[in-house]
Parts: sequence; C-alpha cells; structure tokens
Amino acid sequence: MSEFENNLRRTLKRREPPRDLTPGIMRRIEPATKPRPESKFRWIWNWRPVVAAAAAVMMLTVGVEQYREYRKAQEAKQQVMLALQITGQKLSLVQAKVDRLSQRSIGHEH
Amino acid sequence: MNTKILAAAILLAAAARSQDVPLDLFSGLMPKATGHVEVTLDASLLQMATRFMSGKDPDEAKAKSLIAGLKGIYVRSLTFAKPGDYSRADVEKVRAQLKGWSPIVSVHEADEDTGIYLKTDGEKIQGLVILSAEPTELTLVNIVGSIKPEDLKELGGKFGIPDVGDLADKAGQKKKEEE
Repeated sequence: MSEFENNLRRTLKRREPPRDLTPGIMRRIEPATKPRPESKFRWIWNWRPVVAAAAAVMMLTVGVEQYREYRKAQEAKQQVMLALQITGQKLSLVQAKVDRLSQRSIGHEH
Repeated sequence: MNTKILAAAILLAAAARSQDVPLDLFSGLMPKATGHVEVTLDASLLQMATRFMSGKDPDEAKAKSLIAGLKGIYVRSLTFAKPGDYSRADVEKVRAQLKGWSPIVSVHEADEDTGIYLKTDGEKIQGLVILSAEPTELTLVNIVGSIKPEDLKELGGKFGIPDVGDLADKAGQKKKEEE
C-alpha cells in the first residue's frame, strides 16, 4: 500500500462528531426559527378578503358617483347650449323686428 | 328651532334673489300648451357644465367664456296649438313681474309682443330677460349674472345671437325718431 493510499484512507475515515455539536448548532439556528413578534398590521392580512371587498365597494361607489356627476354635467352642458340657442333665436327675432321697424320709419321719412 | 327657520328664510331669500324672475308664472298656461321647454341652471350646474366644455370646440369655448360670470340661466318656453290659446293678459302678468328691469327693446305688434330687459349695476349688466310672445309660442329667458355685451357680440354667428348693444342703439334711435 502506497503512502498516498494510507493518507487517503486516514482522511476518509469515519469520525464521530463531537458530543456538543448538535446542541451548538441548535443554539445557533434557534434565533432564526423563533416566531417573529406579532405585527400590528397583521389583522389586515387576516382580514384581507374583507379589506379587498371593502376597497372594491369603495372604488365602485366612487366610480358610480363620478359617472353620475359626469352625466349630470353633460345634461347641464346640453341645457346650456339649448338655452343659448333659444336666447340667440329670440335675440335674432327682436333684431329682425327692430330692423324692419327702422327700415319702415326710414321709408316714411323719404 | 327659530334659528333653523331663520336660516331657511335666508336661504329662500337668497335663492329668490339669484333667480330674479319668478318662473312659475307660466305654470298656469302649462295645461293649454302642446309643448314646453324648461331650462333651469343655477350657478353650481353652470360650473359643472363649464368643467366639461371643450376649449377646442369653438361653440363650447364661446359658451364657456359667456357663462363664466353667470349665476343662472332660466328658460321657459311654451308652444301652443293655435293662436289665442294664451291671452295678452297672460303676457302682461309676466311683464308686471319685471319691475326694476329696464326695457332696452320693446316691440309691440298686432299678434306679437317682444321685449328685452336689462338689470344693470353701473355699467355692468347684471341680468337679461327676454320675453317673446308669438302667436303660438311664449318664451321667457332669464340670464342672471354679469354679462359682458362683447361676449354676446362674440357669440354672433355661433348661436345666432346679435349684438345687444346694437339693438339698444337702434331702439334709442327709433325712440328719438318717434319724438
């Protein structure tokens, strides 16, 4: 058997771990596995379906309200345009009458 | 309790002041009418409408600038099936409510009666009323708030609105000629 083989056998020989290895390792990993202190926002996580539903309802309500306001504004806009058209028509009517009367009085003068 | 009544009275008075002309004057004629148009726009609705008016559309842009200083636009227009469905007395009832308004144009013809009335504060126009009584149509337009004559002039050709100042001048000329 060569010296190389002897060295290899010595190196690969099964050795028993020291007696305090397991407790040592356990002591080192203990802090990592310890449960984290309870967060004050933990309830949100537990109530997430309710929170999600409430957020959805809130978004829907805001959306519906915004749409209602938009429709109301569109109606108001149409009413403004209608009111201005009627105003324009009536002012044109008055102007036509005044023009006609002016023409008539000028005609009388001549 | 008394405070609430007082507050309600103040609010009602404020609302009545902002409207100026009682528009329920036409309600008695409503059953006789075959059609009607009602436009009731207070300051908050006008503001709301302004927010959705495009600055790109020329008509809307002009309308936006015109209604910027307004507190309200009220229109009541009734259409009748035949002449004589409303009387001259009905028109006079409406006209009687326009005390405090200065008539700038008033045209009386056999079957038609039209007038433009202004409420002014110094040189500023604070309100405009158009009362138009045609054989089968009776219309009252009340525009409340600061109106610039140049705004109305600018709208000429857009909504068919002529220059009110021009009308007033012509009416003045006619009055002088009559004298």
